[in-house]
Amino acid sequence: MSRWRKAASSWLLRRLPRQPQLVLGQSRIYLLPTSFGWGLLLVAWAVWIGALNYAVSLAYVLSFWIVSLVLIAVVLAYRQLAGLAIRCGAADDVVAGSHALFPLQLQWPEGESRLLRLGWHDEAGGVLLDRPGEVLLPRLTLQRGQMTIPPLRVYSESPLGLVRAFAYLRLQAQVCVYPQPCADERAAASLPDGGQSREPQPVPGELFSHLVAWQPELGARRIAWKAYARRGVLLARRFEEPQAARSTCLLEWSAYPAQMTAEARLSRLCWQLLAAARRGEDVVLRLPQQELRLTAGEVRPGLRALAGFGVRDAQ
Amino acid sequence: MRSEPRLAHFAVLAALALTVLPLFLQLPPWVPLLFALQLGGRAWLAWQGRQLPHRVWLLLAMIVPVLLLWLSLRTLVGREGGVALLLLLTGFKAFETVTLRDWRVLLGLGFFLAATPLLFDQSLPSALWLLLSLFVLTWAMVLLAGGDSAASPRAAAQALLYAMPLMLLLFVAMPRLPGPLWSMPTTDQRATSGLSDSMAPGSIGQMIPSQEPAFTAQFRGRQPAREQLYWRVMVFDRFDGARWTAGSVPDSAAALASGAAGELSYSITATPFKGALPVLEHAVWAGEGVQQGTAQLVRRIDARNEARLRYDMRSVAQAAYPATLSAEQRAHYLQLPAANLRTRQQGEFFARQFRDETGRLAALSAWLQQQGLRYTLSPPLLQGDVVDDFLFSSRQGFCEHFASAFATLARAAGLPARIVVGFQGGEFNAGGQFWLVRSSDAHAWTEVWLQGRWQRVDPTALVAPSRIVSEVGELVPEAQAVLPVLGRRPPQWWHTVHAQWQRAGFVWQQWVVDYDARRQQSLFQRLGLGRVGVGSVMTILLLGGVLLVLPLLLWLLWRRPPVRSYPVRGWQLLVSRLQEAGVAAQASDTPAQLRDKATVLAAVQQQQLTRLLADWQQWRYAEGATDSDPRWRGWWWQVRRFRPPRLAAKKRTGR
Repeated sequence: MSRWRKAASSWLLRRLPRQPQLVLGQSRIYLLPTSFGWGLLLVAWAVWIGALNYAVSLAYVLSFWIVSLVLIAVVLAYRQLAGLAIRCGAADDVVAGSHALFPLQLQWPEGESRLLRLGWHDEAGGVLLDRPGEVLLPRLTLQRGQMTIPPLRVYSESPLGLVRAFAYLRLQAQVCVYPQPCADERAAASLPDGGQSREPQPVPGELFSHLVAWQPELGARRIAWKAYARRGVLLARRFEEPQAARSTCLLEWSAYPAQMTAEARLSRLCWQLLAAARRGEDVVLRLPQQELRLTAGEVRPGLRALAGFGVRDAQ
Repeated sequence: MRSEPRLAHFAVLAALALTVLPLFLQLPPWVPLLFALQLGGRAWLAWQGRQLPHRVWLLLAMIVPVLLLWLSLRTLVGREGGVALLLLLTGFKAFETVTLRDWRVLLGLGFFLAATPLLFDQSLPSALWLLLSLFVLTWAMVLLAGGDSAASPRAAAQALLYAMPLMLLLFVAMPRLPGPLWSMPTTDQRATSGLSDSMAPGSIGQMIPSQEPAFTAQFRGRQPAREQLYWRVMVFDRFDGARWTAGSVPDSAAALASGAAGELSYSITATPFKGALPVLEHAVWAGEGVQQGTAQLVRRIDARNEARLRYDMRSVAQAAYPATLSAEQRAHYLQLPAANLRTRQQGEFFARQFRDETGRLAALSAWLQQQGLRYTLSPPLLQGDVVDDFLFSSRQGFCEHFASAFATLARAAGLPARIVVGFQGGEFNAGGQFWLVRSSDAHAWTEVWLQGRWQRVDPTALVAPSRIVSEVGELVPEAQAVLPVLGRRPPQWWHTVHAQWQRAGFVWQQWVVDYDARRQQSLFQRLGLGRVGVGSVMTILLLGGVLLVLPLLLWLLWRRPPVRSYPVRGWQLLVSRLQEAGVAAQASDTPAQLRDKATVLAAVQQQQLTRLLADWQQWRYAEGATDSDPRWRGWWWQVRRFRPPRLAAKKRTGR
């Protein structure tokens, strides 16, 4: 991408409002000839010069037809994007460093054949779409926190490849990015009064807990096929481990050395939280100005609290 | 489903091959053949999924054909050379196309190649071929863009169709240049079938069996009679005993005055014959682009331009025109070589016998008629004293023998004479209102200077009058039109079809091929726009844009509301009909609710409504019911016919 194009696209993006969903119209669609389009105009010009010199009427016909084709391609390319409705569904929470999957729903009137590509504004290419539906666009998460969906670009060179119609989209969707778990070998403190289990014990191996990355040693039975169908990533279902008795585990922000950075603390707390959940323990999570009591299996609010720690709502 | 890229690649190669197919007729055949082989080879590599040859090998392989081209054409520029070179280079380019971008470059070259056959031929068939080429090229373009393979031909046709109004507008409005930007050497290898610049025995005879069109003429107003149509092209006045050539004697003809009674106004579309253009005897006025020269001949103003031209003329169809001859000119027109002794003696005999020149000419004509000469296109070959041999021994020949013999005879008799070569007659196309003159109408006749006038004497008409009145084909079997393969006389329907085809070709020629700067100017003037300039071109573009292109654009950009199915439309119509009648019906009502509300209607209407609702319910909720069921259409029509009368106001209280 050249400097000028970069500047132009960032200017375009700045003036776009964030919308939960939008329908593309003439104010959002930009049209530019592709290099092939310019090339064909050059051919038309050459044919025109030839026609002028040799006084060949039919060559004028050819030349003008090519020019008209390029001009009509502008309208046809516009029609590829016009009336396209886009919205982003709720994305699943992810761990920092992995890909967040944004489910994007595209709709257009039935019976219109369209061929378009949807991708991130700063990446070339994109997913090819020729029918309405939902696509999952993966985006690498770099840091913990709330990640807002980056600007998207949807473009089409169909049907002739002479003109590119494109639009930048700023949607309103967020994904919660958990801290990356970091192994913390210190035993977590147990609360003295913890461990009254009023709830009925779950049948061992029956209660579904959460999804983890699938490893071959887990066996094919554990693969979460539904999740695979949705995301295309192999995940394994984790079940509550059978527990004889339940204890309460205390996870404290202040339990770490003072010089440790906030992110490092959060990573370790995250690991501890997951480990406690694996053990089937109730958890008390103490963060500055915040304390959560989590019953066994209720790991999500804890992870969210860790993800959202110290983060202002972005935009 | 989307096409696989390989299909698009094959489509590009096929489009290229198809586009250049007409060049087989114009270039040395090995050039297009090699091109086709190159494309075939590239397609084979794509099919097998093999590696392309290295660029170095390509460069080396290119040397041989280019060298061969230089040897066979002696040029790599100009029309033939340039096109052939472009073809070869494109063929090699095909072997280094890998990415989508490369294929698009190749396709762009294909669009340029589509123009090359037009440099050679612009007839109606080549226009149809251009259309086909454009379609296939656009189809390949759609496939390259990833279009659906089943819907791609339709998409290509649509794109071309949408582009057509704009193309037509540009074609009419874009200014043309009156002359070329730079002149290129045209090495035309084909033998031009036309008149040559001299007349020897057989030179016209070889043209007569050819049915090829020579030129067309369109008369405004009155159509002339066939026997009046003497199309003058060249004049030969120097005779060496066998061959007549054009001398350079200035003619001091008094120009005929325009505005005489019986003047014919017409325009001719013709390619110059050695610089000369046909004109009806005798011209009184020449239009733009042409000028009248000596001996009533017409030439292009830019005499070296050999391109086809359309020009306006005015003539009075008469057999003589006034001219004065000086003594020197008179001597020139009486010159005879020493050969043909018997003919000269015969002429001198007449000169002694008839002192009066008019009587002498009449006697010469009468004598020629009595010689028992026979009109045939295959006379025995004459050698030596050709005129003597023709007049006194073989006595078989055609127009040029007759003309040559009569001119010799007249000169020997002391009458200044010369030969005029051109065409006589033509075929009138009643549908198109134009005359088509063919090579087979080529003719030669004599002019004799008598009493201050050049007087036309057509010896052929004296000997074989039917040659002038009817088509040459009816007199000479060789010149008859025959069916291309069957070789016999065509039936009547063939003539009709043929005439229609000629008419289409004529209109095509008039309005498309010959649409040049001059014709554009006259069209602009007829539209009341004045001269072709920035203002008038803009006016036409804007006006045409608003009338032609804008509706198309609006239609393309208009977002059609989704088509409602018959049951939905019918239901809405039914509810609105009931509302019009005063029933408080709503679109959200169930059929049962509607029936209850409609109890205020008359019994007949209630019955109708009940039946309609029963059908609706049955078909709507039946097993496997669809909205595209053909019965819905009939149901919709029934609803349209259902018009319950409006209820009186007091009954309209409803519920």
